[in-house]
This record gives sequence, structure tokens and C-alpha cells, in this order.
Amino acid sequence: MPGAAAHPPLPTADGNSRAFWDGVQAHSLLIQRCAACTKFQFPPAAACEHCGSAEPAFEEVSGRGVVLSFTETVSGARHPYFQAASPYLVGLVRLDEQEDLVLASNFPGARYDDLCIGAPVEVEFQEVAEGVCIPQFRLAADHEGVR
Amino acid sequence: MSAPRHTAAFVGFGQSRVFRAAEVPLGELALEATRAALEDAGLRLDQVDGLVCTPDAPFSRGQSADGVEFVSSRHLAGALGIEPAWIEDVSGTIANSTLAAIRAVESGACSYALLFRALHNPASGSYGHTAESRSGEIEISGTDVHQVIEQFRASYGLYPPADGAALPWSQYQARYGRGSREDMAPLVVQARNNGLAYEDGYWARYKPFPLTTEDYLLARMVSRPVSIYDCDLPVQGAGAFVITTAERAADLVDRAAYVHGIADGVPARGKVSVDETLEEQMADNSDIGRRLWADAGCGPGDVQVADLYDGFSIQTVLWMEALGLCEEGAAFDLIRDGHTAPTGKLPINPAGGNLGGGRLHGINHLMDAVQQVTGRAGKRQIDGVDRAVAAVGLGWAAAGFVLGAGPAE
Repeated sequence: MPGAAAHPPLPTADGNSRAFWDGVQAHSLLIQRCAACTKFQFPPAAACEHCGSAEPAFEEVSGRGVVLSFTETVSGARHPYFQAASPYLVGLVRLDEQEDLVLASNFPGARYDDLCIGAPVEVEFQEVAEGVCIPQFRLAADHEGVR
Repeated sequence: MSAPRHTAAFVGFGQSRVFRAAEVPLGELALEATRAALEDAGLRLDQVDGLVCTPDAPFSRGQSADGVEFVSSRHLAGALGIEPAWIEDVSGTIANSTLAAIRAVESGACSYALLFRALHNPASGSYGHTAESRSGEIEISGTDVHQVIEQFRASYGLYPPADGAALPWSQYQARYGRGSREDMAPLVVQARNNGLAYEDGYWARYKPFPLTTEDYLLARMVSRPVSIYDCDLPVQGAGAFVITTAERAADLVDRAAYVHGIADGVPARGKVSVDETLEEQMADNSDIGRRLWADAGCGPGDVQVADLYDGFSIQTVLWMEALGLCEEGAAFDLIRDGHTAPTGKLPINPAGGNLGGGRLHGINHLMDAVQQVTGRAGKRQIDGVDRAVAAVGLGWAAAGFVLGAGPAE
């Protein structure tokens, strides 16, 4: 791809998110789940947002979800990588495990007209730079091409 | 008979010249606005015993020099040569500092609060683009809380300002089957036309041309369905208000805008979101609406004009529905049928808001609400305005206001 940047901005883990990103590099989607109240939470935090218990543990989830919202960014991207990549799809995915587990995605392989809210998606892991993966969500096979 | 819940009133407004970018130091514009507000109120400088503002830049790390790129209350106090008893900088938007000014007057912390807001737009480069956001590994797009969340969105090119409007808008379209760009066109076209009737707005001053439906539909896309005309235009300028008690107001001006109700923005959530969903924005705005009408002792049917925040066009639609000015999902019906135009049954942003006046955040909305209830809106005046509602900002940096032509009861 032409452009000034070889890759998009890379995620920088913090103390709460390190296990999440380590999981992603190993192609596993790990979401925090509270041992006390059994609820999931994302983004990762130091305590359970539901009951306040300390140190919720990470648990692998199905990687399945639905399209929550989407757009096509045509102009206005700030980072040189995305300026060169424009137009590109970006939006939010809601994981099946719990209503408020919301992650970003670029919906690889899809066109704007392919996307519709509620369409099922599945996680995949995209290597955006050498040794750096991010989770992406692709329209589920049984949904491909459905308008 | 119980005492009224509110005793504050707006008695003066002033706005500076507005520029597309930083041709004039921001401190100079803040002085222009505050002097104009004092003159409008007939208040002497030595009577000002309260001074408050929101100094935050509307984008991250855009502020470094006080009086040039941002203006604090202390800077302005020095520039005006006053030492008010109560002086404060309040984070957020003008919504937050307006609440503080009203409460300072009502609590007796001061008698005459001078409230101002000055917004910077850098002279060079693109709005809100910083060295970090151009080259850094991580996109910085706001406050500290955003630095935590950027790791979950920067790699996707998810940019909160425009995408934060486009994503809930896409949800709205799916949920209600309304909100196409054709549906939105009348609102945006009307906003520009309204803005042209406010002579101190950016478009009226520099580019006094109406926007046509065709202009809107053919506009450059930013993040579908958000086009360039769904975004307000960044400008540099300042506005100021004088707030005092209803009792003192009677000695200053013939007609004051009396505070009937106020509501704070929702507290920051315990969790941060990758980007706010339609559900989150509606929950926040509706919560403000419920508390606002309860505080004002009236309802959405009791206002004759609404000044609703429109940094992005969809935000006005969400405020209409969240405040109960129409049913959820029905805003575009009102817009289509002309009810939100100045001649309609619920005029929205008759001074153009931010889409029709430039990005002065809530200055335009509060100004119009004040002028409408005091009958001082000139050619923008809506007939028979007894009460106005203004909703400014989003989330914790938001607030709602009901102003009345007579004192609160």
C-alpha cells in the first residue's frame, strides 16, 4: 500500500490490558470475567465494573458477535496509514457473550454495502506489523454477501 | 407557598468577532466578549464579583499559552484588572461553567457572575491534529481517559469526532428505518439559513450564502453518512454572559432570562467505551432530560423554542428525542414536515447553532435561548416564546437548561 506509514498505530498495552494483548498475539480472544459475579467486562480494568471485586481473571470467549455499528471513513483520517488506506470500513462489534462487550473492527473482506447491523461476525487475528496482531471481525461465512 | 427552586437570571450577552482560525490572540477575543456582555447588562466592571469559564481546548494538547491558545479565568481577571471574590475554571464545555455560574449566584458566592468561553482554532495545520497524532504509535484524541482507550481503537483508524457521530447514526438508521441523508438534508439546510440571520455567526459574516439540498447531498463524505456539512466548522471566537439573581436583574435590565431548570451532565461512567453507542448517548441525554424537566417543573410541551447542541447534525436529532420534544424515532418526521423551522411548531436552533454559526460549542445555543425568552432575538425572534430549552454538549460535559420570560415560581 502506498503511503508514509507501513502500519497503523500499534496498540500499547497497559497493566490492565497486557493479558488481553498477549492473548491476541497468541490468536486467542481473552476477555475479563469476574469470579465473584461471573460477568464479563471490556475494556480490561483493575476491578470488576459490575461488583467491584479485584482482579477479574481473563477467559477465552467464542469470538462470535454481531455488527453493532459501522461507517466508511472516506476523508478526515489523521494517521498517514489511514489517510493512504481511505476509504476504509470501521465500526463496532458486540460479542455474543454479553451485551456490553464492544470491540472495534475493520470488517476485513467486506464492502460497505455488505455490512448490516446485526450481521454475525467471527474474530480473526490480523498481523498489522511484524509480531503485532489485532483482533478483527469478519462477516460469518453463512452471511457473506447478504445485503 | 414554597420558594422557587431557582433565583438566577441571565442579564447580558456578548460575543467577540469570530475568525476561521487564530488571527487574533484568544485573550483579546475573550476581552471583547466579556466587555460586550457587561455593556449589554449595564453592569460596571467593579460590580463583577464572580468570574468563571471553561478553559479546555476542544481537542487534546491544543493549549499551551494562556491568553493566546486558551484563556483561563485568572488570565481574564488580570486582563480586565479585577479581583473577583469567586473565580473558577471548570472542565468540560460551557455547559459545565454555566451551571457553576448559576449555582454561585444562587448560593450567594457572588452577586454578579461573569461567564465566558473562548474557543481556539490553530492558524496552521488541521483541527485537533497534533504532532503526537500524526506520528505517534498511539492516537491521542482527548482527555486522559482516552489515552487508556486509544489502544483499542487507534489501530482501526477509529476517530472519535466524526466516527462518534457516524456510528450511532448507523444504528439509528437500522433501528428506525429513518435518517437517510435525504432525511437529514432539511435540518442541515435550515441550520445554515438560520445562521445567516445571526449576524455575528461565522457563515453570516464571511460566507453569507444559503446551503442547498443539492449542496448537502453532494457534499464530501467524512465518515458515512457524515459529510462535511454534518460537522460544524471550527472557528476562533468567544462569548460571555452575565448572570445574577432575579431580584438584582430588575435593577439592571428591562427583561431578563430567568433560570427555571438546570440539569448536570451524567457522571463519567465507571467504564470507558471504545466508542459511545446510540444506546449510551440516548441514555445519557434522556437522563439529563428527565432531571431537567423535573427541576423546571414543566415539560417538553411547555417550551416554544429549542436550542440543541449540533456539533454533528445527528446530535440534534438525538437531543430532540431524548428531551421528549418528539417520540423516539419520530424526529425526522418533524424535520420533514417543517416543524423545526422558525415558522414551525417547534423551532430548533433559530440562530443556526454550530452548524449554521461555527463551532462555538454551546455559546450560540445559550445566547439564542436567552434572547428568545427576552424578546431580543431581532429578526430571529420566534413569536410568543415564554420558555426555551437549551441542551449543550454530550455526556459529562453536557447540561440542560430551561429559561423563562418570567421569574421561576
